[in-house]
Amino acid sequence: MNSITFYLLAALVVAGSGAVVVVPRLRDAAIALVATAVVIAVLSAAAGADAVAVTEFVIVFGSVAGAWAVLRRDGRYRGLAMRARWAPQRWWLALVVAALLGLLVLTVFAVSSDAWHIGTGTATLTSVLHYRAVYAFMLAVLLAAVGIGAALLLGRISHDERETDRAVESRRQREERERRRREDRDAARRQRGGSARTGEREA
Amino acid sequence: MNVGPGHFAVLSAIVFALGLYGVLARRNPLGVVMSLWVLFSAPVIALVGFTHTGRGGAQPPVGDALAFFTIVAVAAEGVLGIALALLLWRRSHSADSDELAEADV
Repeated sequence: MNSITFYLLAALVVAGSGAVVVVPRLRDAAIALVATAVVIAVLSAAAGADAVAVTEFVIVFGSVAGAWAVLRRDGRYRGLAMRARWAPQRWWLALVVAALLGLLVLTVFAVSSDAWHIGTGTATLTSVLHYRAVYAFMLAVLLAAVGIGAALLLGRISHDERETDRAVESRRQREERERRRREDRDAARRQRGGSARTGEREA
Repeated sequence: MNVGPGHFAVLSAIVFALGLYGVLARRNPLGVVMSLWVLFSAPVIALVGFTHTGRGGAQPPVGDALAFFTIVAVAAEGVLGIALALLLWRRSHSADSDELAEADV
């Protein structure tokens, strides 16, 4: 790979990742996440890992689009995506821990040998997954399916929950009506009292 | 100048540190899930880089397969995290993980 291409893509990956973790609005962070996934996919494709590039793009884009559709479906989750502060409390502690662990990862890479595994195979990932590692591929598909199934199970709104929401809403409306009625009664009493005093004064 | 495994290692470590910072600093559960996604991009970058630029007779399918499984695992973790965040929001109406730790849900 050309070094200029690498540095350009690396700068975009770092900028996108930084935006995901820092930007206060979650919508902007989600856009930055998709953009970062696209750049990582381009980087993978430029390095020669085409199947990884396609997988990275399809899975990240699909997951973010699905989550966005759920969040936009009704106004129930509007508050969940509210703005966060630019710099959270104790951000410096998180920064120090992240920098130290990043350095640790870098040190491990630096002291490791270049030949991190040996072999001379030249098959592509798709042919390996399709012909030689079918069980591993099926396990990956199963993992994704179980994850999505569990997410749907957790995220669905159950019958009980819907009934509870309806009861809470009707109680809120009843309390609101009672409050208004009480205020109207008080206002009428004050008005009656005021007109009675005026009549006594006139008499 | 050719790009070697060291370049990908440095990029991977930076992305890992950024993702970890987001996981530790973000208070919104959806923000934490997105930061986890960034964090898990680090091994994907490292695996792809080591496999396709590594010296010493690297074996492409193995590294690619590991990267593939990492992406699938992070996708499964991500959708579960989002579903949990939605569930907690419906129960507690709080978008702060510190408050969620004390909430009675």
